[in-house]
Amino acid sequence: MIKAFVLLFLFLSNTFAIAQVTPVYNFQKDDPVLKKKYVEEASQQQKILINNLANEYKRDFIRVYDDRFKEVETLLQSSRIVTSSEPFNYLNAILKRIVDANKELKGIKIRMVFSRDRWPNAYSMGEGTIVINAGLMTFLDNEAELVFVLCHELAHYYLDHGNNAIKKNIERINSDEYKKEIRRLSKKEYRVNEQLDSLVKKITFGNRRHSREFEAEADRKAFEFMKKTGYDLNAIKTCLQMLEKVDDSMLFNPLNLEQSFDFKDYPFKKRWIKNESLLFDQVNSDLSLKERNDQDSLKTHPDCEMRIDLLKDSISTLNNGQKFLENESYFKQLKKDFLVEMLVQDYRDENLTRNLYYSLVMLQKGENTPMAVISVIRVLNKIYDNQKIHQIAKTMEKESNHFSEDYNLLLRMFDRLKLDELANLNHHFCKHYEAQMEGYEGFSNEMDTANKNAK
Amino acid sequence: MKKICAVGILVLLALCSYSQKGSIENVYDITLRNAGVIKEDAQVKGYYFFYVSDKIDKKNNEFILSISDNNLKKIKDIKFQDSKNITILNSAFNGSELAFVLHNEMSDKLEYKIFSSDGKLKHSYINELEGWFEVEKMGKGPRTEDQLKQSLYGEIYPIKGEGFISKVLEKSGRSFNLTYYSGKSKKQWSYKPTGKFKMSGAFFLGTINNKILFHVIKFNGIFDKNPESSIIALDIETGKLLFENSTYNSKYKLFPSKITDVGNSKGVVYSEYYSADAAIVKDKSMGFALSEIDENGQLIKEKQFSWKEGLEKYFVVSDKGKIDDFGFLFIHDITQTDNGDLFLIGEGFKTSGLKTHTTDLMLLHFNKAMDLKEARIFPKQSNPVNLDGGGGLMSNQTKGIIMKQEQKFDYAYTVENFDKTSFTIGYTNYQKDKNYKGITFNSISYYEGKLTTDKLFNNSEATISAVLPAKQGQVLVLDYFKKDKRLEFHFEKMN
Repeated sequence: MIKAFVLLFLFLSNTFAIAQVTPVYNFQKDDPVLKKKYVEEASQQQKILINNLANEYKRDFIRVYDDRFKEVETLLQSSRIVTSSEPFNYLNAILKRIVDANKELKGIKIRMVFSRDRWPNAYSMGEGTIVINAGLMTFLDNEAELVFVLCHELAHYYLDHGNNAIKKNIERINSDEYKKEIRRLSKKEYRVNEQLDSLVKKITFGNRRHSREFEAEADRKAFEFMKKTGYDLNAIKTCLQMLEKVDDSMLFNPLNLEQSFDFKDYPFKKRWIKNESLLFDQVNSDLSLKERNDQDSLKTHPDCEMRIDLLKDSISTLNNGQKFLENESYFKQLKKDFLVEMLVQDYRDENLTRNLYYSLVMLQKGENTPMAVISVIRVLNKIYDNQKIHQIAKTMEKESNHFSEDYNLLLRMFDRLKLDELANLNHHFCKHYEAQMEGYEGFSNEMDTANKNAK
Repeated sequence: MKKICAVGILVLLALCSYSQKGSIENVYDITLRNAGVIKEDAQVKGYYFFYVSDKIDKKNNEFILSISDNNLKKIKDIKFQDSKNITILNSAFNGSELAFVLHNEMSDKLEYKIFSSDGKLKHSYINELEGWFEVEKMGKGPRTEDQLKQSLYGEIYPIKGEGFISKVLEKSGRSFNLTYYSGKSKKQWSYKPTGKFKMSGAFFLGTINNKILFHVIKFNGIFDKNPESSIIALDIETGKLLFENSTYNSKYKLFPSKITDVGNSKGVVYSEYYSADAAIVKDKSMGFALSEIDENGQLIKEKQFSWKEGLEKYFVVSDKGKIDDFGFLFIHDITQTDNGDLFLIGEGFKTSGLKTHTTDLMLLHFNKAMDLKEARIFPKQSNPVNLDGGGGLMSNQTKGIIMKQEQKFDYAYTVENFDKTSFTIGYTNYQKDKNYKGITFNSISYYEGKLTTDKLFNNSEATISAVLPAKQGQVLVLDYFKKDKRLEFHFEKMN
């Protein structure tokens, strides 16, 4: 009887304890079995590919294919890949729609996955693995745009662009012309690097030109695939227009740092983000004509405007599809979820400033507030720890022309913060959200650490 | 063998030594020749890396001067062709132009290349040297050739928004030549000390209102223990001597070593002072003085701090000016914060017979009125010093100057932040205990009235590690992996 009472008490007290802690967010849970299955599939395909190789330049092909497989294997085994059932099934349901609508794709062996990577991109590895980054998903407006992206990557795979590019490069480096040029250069004593540079540029420009041709071809094929799916073909245009100007400001208002870190007892210091005079600050905007031409020639993708232009007539004649066919509400939910998954991935990858930036942006936007608060406190504690033991370098980015202005300000601020300022900032941040965060999982632990650091 | 080198010249040498043994990642087989920090006043604005990018013909190479900002983001590659025998000695940034001193060892010429803020070559000046280096090389002591070259020819100081002034020893080795190179237009002038003397030396003090100030000492012979000492001011436009004020008066002899521009056409000079009848080369100083002067060299006010009375509130000081366990004080730098407070950054050294060793670091904090607010010692390992000239009969001040010239102190640099609210002092130390044995890089940081200290251990697997100055509160750590011929860079924050 007593034993039963004790057990009941323990059960109730546990239940009570669980009830007191509210999770800040339900994270997507990955499926290790699926990951393993995908690696095995990729490995099988790799074996078949190598077994079917002709003898010419076989060693070169094996070397390149092995490198590519290692990359695929690492990717599939990493925490970057989303194998949680809901997003995975959603993506593959859309893939099925495309395959079902296009007979030529029947039986195609594809591993189509979302990744938690932040940068807006999708890519085909060339051996059957196609990845759509969460960062791209957050920018897409509707399922039809996602379908265009999938069709474009499928087209690359279907047209074997990856393997064709490998073949072209291997044939080039084994060509008589190339070998002769290398021999000539190895005998030269003067101006060798100038000529080597010109050879490298010639090869790179050639590769990039082919790459742009592949992109245009993939667009055309993607259009062919997509027009049979019932999705709105106008999404091709809107998706390409979005890619042309993709920028965080399309998703969020710029981060207001002063508002984020201004507390009654610890006001924001303007000095943290004040401009300082730079060295040669005009140089970057002053590219010479040659440098501009070189930059254009090095582009892997044709301009999106040009891509739209090439397809606009086809789109206008056949534009009667739907923006959503599979699940509109899940698409919208996924976009929100991916923002959280991305920032957590940044934390796992130890890109702490990115993690902090997206956490603050999410907080400012009023989305997933408890998660955002915990994330800010946690990353500030981590930055404090790293700064204390001189391990900050690999985890914090530095200001760059390629980053948005608000992110650069955040980088400047954290570049300047002294250790005690960092501790005080987090302490006051915790204090500010303490009442609001009561009962949320992980908050009190992170706050205790922040308070301890501030003492 | 693992090494950690501290900043400035030592780091340059560390990088030079890479070049002799390898290349960066083997890409294009580019060999790194030299690298350094670009500073504006006491702020780090960027870095340069100088390397050979191609052989042009038998006599000439193509060089690249790669300029990065203070976040190490490359902002410009400056390509030029020149004799294959050139090496880079120094750089200076005057807020709008960047100057590099190059030395051609074969023709014994110095070349001053001045680049505008868009990275284009604005002016190039040549200075013929007449073979002095070959003579001097024989007596270079433990210094490397690069260190020696740098101290003989590499001195160049920026004049804000105007140009650069260089100091080069004359072929005789007994006097110097100051040459000004304008950054605005191709214009130069030179100044040589005049009067009756056998030897002379000059130390750049700074500028007040574009008047270039040097401390000049003139000796009547190599055994002259009581040289003439004066502050001279040169007109930036013409090089004309504007004044030459003796630092001796009827009461004291002042021996200035630093000046800081405190605004409003005024400067504060730090000097050690001696009795009026002292021989400054061998006698002990009585204390130090802070003198506020105007642009004409006229004294506005002066405060003297005898070693005994000035510092005994903080330390035990002997009548000879020796502080218990600290020894004698050598001032490395003066820095002024935005509220007008002055900080003197010094290092101790002790002598016993012919033996000398460095001791601790000292920070003296003065308010705007030049009253001493605080004096603190920051303990470090005592390191023995071998002076090339022995230094037995010299005064402590003279010994300190020689130690500084021969880079024997552990102090490395002071950097300020952009609004002068904070500064960081960097120095090396040696630590040996159960957890660590080797050189550490240490810092003392001042911010909002607080002083904090920090230490960086060298736990890298690199063959050579080096520390370069970075933005205030940070350091740039370079790791060279000899086996992989790989050079890695990263910033670390000093707390």
